[in-house]
Amino acid sequence: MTVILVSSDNQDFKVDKEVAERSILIKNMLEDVGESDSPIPLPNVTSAVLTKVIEYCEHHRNDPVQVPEETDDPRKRSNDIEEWDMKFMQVDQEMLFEIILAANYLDIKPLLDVGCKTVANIIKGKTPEEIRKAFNIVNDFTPEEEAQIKKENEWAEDR
Amino acid sequence: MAKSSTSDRALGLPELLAQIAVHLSPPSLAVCARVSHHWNDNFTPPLWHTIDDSLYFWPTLLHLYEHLDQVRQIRRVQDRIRHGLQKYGHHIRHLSVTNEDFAKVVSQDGASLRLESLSIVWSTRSFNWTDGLDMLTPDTLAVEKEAVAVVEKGGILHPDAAFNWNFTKDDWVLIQKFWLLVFRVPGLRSFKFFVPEHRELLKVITPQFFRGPLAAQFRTLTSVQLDFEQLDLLDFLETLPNLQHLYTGYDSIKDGTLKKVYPRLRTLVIDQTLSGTTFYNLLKHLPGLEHFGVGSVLKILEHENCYGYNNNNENDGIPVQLRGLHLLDEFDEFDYDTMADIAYDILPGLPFLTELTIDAVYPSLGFVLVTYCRQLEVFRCSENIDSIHCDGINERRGINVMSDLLESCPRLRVFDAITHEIIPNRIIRNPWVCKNLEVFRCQLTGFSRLDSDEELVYKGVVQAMESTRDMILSEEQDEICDQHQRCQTQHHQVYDRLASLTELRILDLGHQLINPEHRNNSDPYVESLNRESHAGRTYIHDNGPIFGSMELSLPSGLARLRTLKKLEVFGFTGVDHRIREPELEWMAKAWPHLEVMRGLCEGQILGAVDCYVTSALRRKMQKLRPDVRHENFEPEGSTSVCLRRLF
Repeated sequence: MTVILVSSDNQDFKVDKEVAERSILIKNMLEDVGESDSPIPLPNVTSAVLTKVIEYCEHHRNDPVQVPEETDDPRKRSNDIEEWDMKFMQVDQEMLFEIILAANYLDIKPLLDVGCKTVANIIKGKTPEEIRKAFNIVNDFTPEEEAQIKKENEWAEDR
Repeated sequence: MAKSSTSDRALGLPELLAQIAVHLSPPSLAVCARVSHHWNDNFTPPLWHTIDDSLYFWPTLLHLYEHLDQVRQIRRVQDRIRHGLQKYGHHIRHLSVTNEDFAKVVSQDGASLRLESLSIVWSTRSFNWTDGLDMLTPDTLAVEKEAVAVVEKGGILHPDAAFNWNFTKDDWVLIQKFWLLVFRVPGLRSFKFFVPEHRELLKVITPQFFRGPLAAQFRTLTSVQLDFEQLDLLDFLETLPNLQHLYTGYDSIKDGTLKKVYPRLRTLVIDQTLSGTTFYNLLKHLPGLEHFGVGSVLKILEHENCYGYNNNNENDGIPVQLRGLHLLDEFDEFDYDTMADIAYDILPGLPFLTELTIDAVYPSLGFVLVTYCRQLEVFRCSENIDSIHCDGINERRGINVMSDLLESCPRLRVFDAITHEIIPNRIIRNPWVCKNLEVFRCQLTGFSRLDSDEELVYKGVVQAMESTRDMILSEEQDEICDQHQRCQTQHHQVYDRLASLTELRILDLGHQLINPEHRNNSDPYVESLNRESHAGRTYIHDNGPIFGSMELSLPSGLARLRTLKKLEVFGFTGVDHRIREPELEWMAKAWPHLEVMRGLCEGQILGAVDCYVTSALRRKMQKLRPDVRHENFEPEGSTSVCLRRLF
């Protein structure tokens, strides 16, 4: 069985139901509507992004449902990204954040996870200034404020 | 640089920043907290979520004022901790304390924390403690009762009232404060009070709390680690109805048997040797038990059925569900009978066993495991024996015998037996069935390496052959070239075997642990080590690298390990590795997830400084990969290592 997804720029995407249902949002919508041929509008997702999202869901169509990790110990958190996922995420930063926003909106937890891991990997090893530069963030701290925070969190430095 | 507002939109969402924070360690989170006010608001809570004063910069920070006089030093450190707790303490959910000053501040000011777990651990304490508490008199018991009553109301009984005992004010106050804190923190699910060197401390007032009216306040606890022998297992099971994980120290099974079923307990660690009867009685009355840590289990008596539990009418033939058995006792050659009993009597009765921790490796164990426990997923051999360089240790214990597991247990994920040795010919001859091995910690020894004189001869031959094509070799030269060739072939075949383990996260081939007892400089072993001066510093050499260990150079074939893309830990302490700058450059590129390197760190012997070549290599690696941490071998003995993994 297939469903039709409609992107914000009015492009239709015909996909298998089980692929579309990797999105919890779409899964819930389909369950609410019941048997219907009506296209599903996704006003927050452009066709370019939807293409990528569908590519991800196609590749992971047979993955088991993700079980939340029991541990909240940060030392046990894994930053491993599968090889295919890593290649999939080799996109420009604009598209990376578009995918993350779409995964968040469509409620596709594994894709959101991979996106956030990718951003975390960009952050690692950078200074605050390098992070600001990478993500175009304005520094709204006074030098004194920043120094104070650095001192309070000094324990977390790795040396 | 992102020009669009897409990143602004995404990074403006607190829920997305929280998701990103999940994948960052405290050093990165601390950097994020300095990016902007918005980021500070979102990254500070995860940064302070888990505080462990033995990690990151805490240890240095807590000893920063050592040059000051003691009173000022303690006050400065305590003020600093107090400030942090006051400002950010409400974010802390998991708190682990090993520093005394930290513990004092927490016990004083910690009641407003919203902790879910609290751990206070000292391996050594600076307080003087004597054994004056063994003979508690009616008077002292009265003082204890009074202390309990005072703590119940949220106070501390003045030390003077207790001072007819032979212990310090600090001890008396500390123990009361700890319990006061445990009572005051609502929602505490887990606590650990672990002072292995000074168990006597816990004799003060602790039993009264557990058996008295205050016990009701413990009902929410699901995990308790109390290294304390005065309480019986039954006290815990009856007082804590929701208990799932329990460590009680030793001798906690007083009368031998349970009469009632307690289905919730999933982990039990009692560092006590049990009779076979008691062991099975516990398994029967704790049907939810998944992991059982126990000193050792004695042979089942002759009138009992040898494989008794499964066929014994008393237990209705329900097979034991136990998944993990962790034997904490240290065995030596005199315990051979006990070791064989465990193998033949106990293991066949545990059909669902997937994890085993044991101190000793011996042929009957390997045989029984591959006969009865082929579903084994995790095998750990404790690490409490001395460095292989110590006297007597070169008597090899069961060399190769655990190779059986690698060859017969297809589900094996963890082979953590760094004190065990396997020789290359065994690896080459027998294929391994465990394709999904994630942890491999084992020494590979017995390579046909050339000694230093032979290497000189070999190099000479190579150089000579470069200039003279038709060189005639002497018999000795010929033999040395053959040996080199054999060694190369061995290396390539072993590398290929390791390279096929593409799921490996931890590859540790080195073992040079110095037993903590040997850290004392007056120890004959430490005294016997060679010392060398270089650039004004004294270096202590141990007795050289492990004989016949694997070479880890590029010419020997290291690059075959390029398939180990998931590698996080690489260890080669004590191995005659020949790693130099080109090898480090290769590793830095080939293993993108590498987090820890064991082999370029400072020695553990008190006062010893590592070899200058090692220092230079470590600096090189720090330059190439600043994210890779250099650490030593696990510093503690078997029990603590095992417990760290269980809890």
